[in-house]
Amino acid sequence: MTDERTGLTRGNREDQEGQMSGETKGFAGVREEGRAAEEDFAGVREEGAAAEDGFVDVREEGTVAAEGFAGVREEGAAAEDGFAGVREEGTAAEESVAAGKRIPDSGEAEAQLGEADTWQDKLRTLVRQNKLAVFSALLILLMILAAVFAPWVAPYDHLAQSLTDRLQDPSAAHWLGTDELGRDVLSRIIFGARISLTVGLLPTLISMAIGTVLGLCAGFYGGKTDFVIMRLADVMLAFPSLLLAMVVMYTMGGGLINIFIALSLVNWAGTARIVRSQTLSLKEKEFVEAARSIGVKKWTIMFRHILPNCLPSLIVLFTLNIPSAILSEASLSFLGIGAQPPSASWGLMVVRGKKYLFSEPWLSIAPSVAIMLVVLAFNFLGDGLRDVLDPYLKEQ
Amino acid sequence: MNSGERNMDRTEKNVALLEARHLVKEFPAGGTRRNPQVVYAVTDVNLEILEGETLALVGESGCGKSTLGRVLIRLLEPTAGEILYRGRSIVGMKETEFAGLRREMQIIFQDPYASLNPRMNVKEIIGEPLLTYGMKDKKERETRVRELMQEVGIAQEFYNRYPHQFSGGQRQRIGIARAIALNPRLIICDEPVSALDVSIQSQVLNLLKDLQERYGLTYLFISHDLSVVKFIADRVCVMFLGMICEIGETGALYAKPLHPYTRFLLNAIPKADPRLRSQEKELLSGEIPSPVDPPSGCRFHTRCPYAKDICRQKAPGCRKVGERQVFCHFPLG
Amino acid sequence: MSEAMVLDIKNLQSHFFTAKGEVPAVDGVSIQVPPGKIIGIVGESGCGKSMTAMSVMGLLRYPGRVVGGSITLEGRDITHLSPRELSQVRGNEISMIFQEPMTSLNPVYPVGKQVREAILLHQKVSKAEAKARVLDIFRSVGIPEPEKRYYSYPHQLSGGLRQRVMIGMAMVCRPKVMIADEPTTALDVTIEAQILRLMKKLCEEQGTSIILITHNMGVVAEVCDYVYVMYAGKVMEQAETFALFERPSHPYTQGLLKSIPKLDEKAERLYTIEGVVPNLLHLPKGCSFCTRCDQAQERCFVEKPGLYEAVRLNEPEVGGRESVELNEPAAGVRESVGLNEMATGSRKRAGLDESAAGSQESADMQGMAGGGSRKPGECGHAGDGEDSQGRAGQEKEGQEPGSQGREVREKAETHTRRDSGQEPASHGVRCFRYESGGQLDE
Repeated sequence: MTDERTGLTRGNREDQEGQMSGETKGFAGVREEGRAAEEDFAGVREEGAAAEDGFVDVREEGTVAAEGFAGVREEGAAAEDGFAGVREEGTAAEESVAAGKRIPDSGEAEAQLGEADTWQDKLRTLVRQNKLAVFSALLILLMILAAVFAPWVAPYDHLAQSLTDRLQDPSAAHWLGTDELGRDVLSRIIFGARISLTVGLLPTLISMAIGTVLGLCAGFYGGKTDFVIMRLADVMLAFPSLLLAMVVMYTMGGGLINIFIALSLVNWAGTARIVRSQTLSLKEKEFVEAARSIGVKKWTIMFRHILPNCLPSLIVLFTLNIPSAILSEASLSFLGIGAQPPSASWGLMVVRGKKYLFSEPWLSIAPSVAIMLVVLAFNFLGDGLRDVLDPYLKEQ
Repeated sequence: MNSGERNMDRTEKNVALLEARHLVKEFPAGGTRRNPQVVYAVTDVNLEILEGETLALVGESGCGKSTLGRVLIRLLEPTAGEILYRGRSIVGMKETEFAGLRREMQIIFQDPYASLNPRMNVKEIIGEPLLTYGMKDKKERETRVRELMQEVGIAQEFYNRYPHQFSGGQRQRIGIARAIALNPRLIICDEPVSALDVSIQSQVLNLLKDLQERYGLTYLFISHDLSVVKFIADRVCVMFLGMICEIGETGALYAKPLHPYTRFLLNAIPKADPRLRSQEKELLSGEIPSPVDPPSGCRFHTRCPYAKDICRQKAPGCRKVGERQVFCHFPLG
Repeated sequence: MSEAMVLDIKNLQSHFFTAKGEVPAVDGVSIQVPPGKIIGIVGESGCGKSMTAMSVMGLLRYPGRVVGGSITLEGRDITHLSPRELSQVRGNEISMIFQEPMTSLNPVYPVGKQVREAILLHQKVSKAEAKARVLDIFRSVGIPEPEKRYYSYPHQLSGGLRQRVMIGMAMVCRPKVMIADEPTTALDVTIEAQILRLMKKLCEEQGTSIILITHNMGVVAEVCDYVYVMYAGKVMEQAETFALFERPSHPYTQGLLKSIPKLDEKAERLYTIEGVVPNLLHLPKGCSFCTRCDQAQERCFVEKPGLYEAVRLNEPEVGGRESVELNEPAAGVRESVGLNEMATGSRKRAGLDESAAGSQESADMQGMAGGGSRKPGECGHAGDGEDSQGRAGQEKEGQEPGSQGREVREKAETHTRRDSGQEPASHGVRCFRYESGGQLDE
């Protein structure tokens, strides 16, 4: 009886720990955990039937799991491979072959192969492994260029109305047709990229900067600082962010600048949480202890030792936060409290096209596709970057 | 800076550089609010580290040796007790006042993979202590860093490399360079070679010995490996579960352990000579008790085959046998 | 001869196909495992010892693959089995334990239940029977209060107990071979000694052969019957344990042994093998150890040495604990190096060594039961039976070493005879210096 109870609480704790580590690793952990858990539980849960299913043997599962988990300690490739091999393909394994296990140490081999970690090499790894991410990066680059050089790229002026050309079907002259005021949809989408991309980048940067500093402080100082900041973050997270943004927008009025402010204020909490949990684990690291033993000041430790080690996850988080900001802008504009006409915002275009959804569907579909492409591209890029950058796959 | 002078100091042997008196360190270990649990990591430790010597702290996991090492140089605050560094009490000393002493006590870590910041290169890692203590001039710093690299045997061309590009042994050398950068007097070596391969281990041990000679360093060498300790230490302090079992000069302690635990520890080491197999030797049975709930009296009594009633009730005091100190009611004859 | 072997690994090659090239993690490794013996594979990290084990278990993952050689388990080639067939073999006939048992145990189930599942998967027994067997197993691996421990979760057990559970789990089906990958590295010395003794006991009682992978020469010396020293994916030296420690022949083995600090002597400096393990992608053209070898000659850099039988060399030994000058004439006189080898040293300690080695035999006969406890440091060579120890001491003081050589040699020879047919490998060395001994591999 008691055993069962301990089992239960143990299970819960396990869950929490799982979450914790998931957090610690940033988003990176999630996929990992899923797989690990699968492997881990499969053996026992499947009981007898598993045997026929090819799950063969608890112990076997055990070994496989061990192989995956124990990666750190196990010598060489197969172990780390279990972890990283699928995603990191070549490099991880290759490094670990030579690198050998962590305890005891390996030799020069690692020192030579370790070079795979310069930025150029990481980029090369990315190019080699994740074509999708590279394609996404190119797409994003293309969009940014188009947005910057919109006046030259766009075939027409995005504000020029022409009532004679209202609601035209896509044609050679107007590739994506025209809207109800006769404006060229393609041009409007290109100009709309300016708004969407700015909204994607700027508020995300600001909110992440806020979140990073707060998270660092919370994690490093702990105690009351931690409590106050994290409860605040909890409150922010408990509210649907869109709703919160709407509240801000309603009180301050529509417009682009206000969108920036609203989104910046709303989105810091997630970053703060991730940075905090990373800080918590990083500040226990021996190199931080070493810095303390030298007598390095706290602030310096935070920004020279801890922050740079959070960067990879922050970069990944950045690419994952951008699409959500873009979506938020689109939603806010869709709801009429974002960008105001006649500016060409994708969200706005979708809502304006709504009326013609059945007669001239491209009016809504074209900007929707644009939103989708950007969001997907950033997500894929984030995925790819995480695979290459996440230090937790390699360093632990 | 003036290592020559320091070397002169060394001639005055048997002067305590660091002294711990009734040192206690406890950690909160959860539990409920009404019934909080405590890890008794270090219990009432009295210890002297003599100028210029290597004192080894030996014990199994959970015996509090690493904690003790960190408490001694105030990386952790002791729960109770006093620490005297060259006669001055450093417990409760203000951080600003302590900063001057801080540079005289450094630490080398066990895990060469965790002890170097992966985002800093060699130049920055070894240069950090210099920068912290006011060597702002870049040129000056570079000269010193290169000098230190030379000292520990890292090739000059690795000046701008990052830690992951090095093997464990090389990383450990970088960690050592960082530790000696400020010309410290005392270095806590926390299992500096236990993460290294055998062939690398001997290189690092030799390096540590050379540096000690050259700079007149004092080492507190924390290790679980008795053969390594035998090589490097002048005196050995054996710990079990937060309690000191025995302190003595290395040769004498190995030749004739007085505490039963020391004896069993020596028995248990697998020796690299099949003729010395311990097959028939008496082994210690049982597990190491938890430091959250340590046994009463002598903490070793649950595993000690010679335990009598008094061992269960009363913690043994220090008995002096010549130079040796042994904490046992019934020291081996 | 190979018929007698439980596990016969021949010329195993496992490569990793990486973006930077093919990494020969295991490069032509041959290992023979006789029944009921403990085989040690020792080497530094990255030498391929764990990869060898993974290859045998069929646990190599992409991009690693077995590209050559054969693995024969009791006369059956298991190199090319399908994953399904292989998993039948695993657990039933070969099992494996790891360094950190916590990672191999599921944290959310009681350990007893996990072991019971292992039994239920392999054998058709009722749950109650299975549980009874688990308790038996727990008792046999020395877990105190097995009934209570049955319901413990892994985190409630200490590292030593967890390792015992893992060993128990690995022994469920009485496998022919158990591969133990650094089983005691994460444990404390006193616990390590317990686990090693347990493994030795299981090996003797149940006839299970154990492949013990470790980086610790002490562990090898403690329990292994035969040793394979690996370096950069190759076996550098292989020998019966006593022979290896008595006459380490490869410069690498010699270096390794010399660089370990000794308990019984106080050295000022330790011997070091200079340099670091070479990158497996850019191995030297010749012998993979040549860059670090202090005895390397020109030839070593251009030609790969084969595995030669260790013969006595004319030149003074640079070897092991102390150099052993040999009376025997001439390299090229081929003589297989077995235990009898030890009877021929002439240095002052050699006398003691011989008798100690020889009389190990008698200690063996007495078995573990006969041996009493001994204080460490009482004698530098504690470890053999009481009386033989005494005798050794006497001989050391009183007699000319050579004069008792004969007796010891006789003993040694009986030892060899008894073991013949089970001897997996003669003393082989991958070094040109021993070329005159004749090549052992292909």
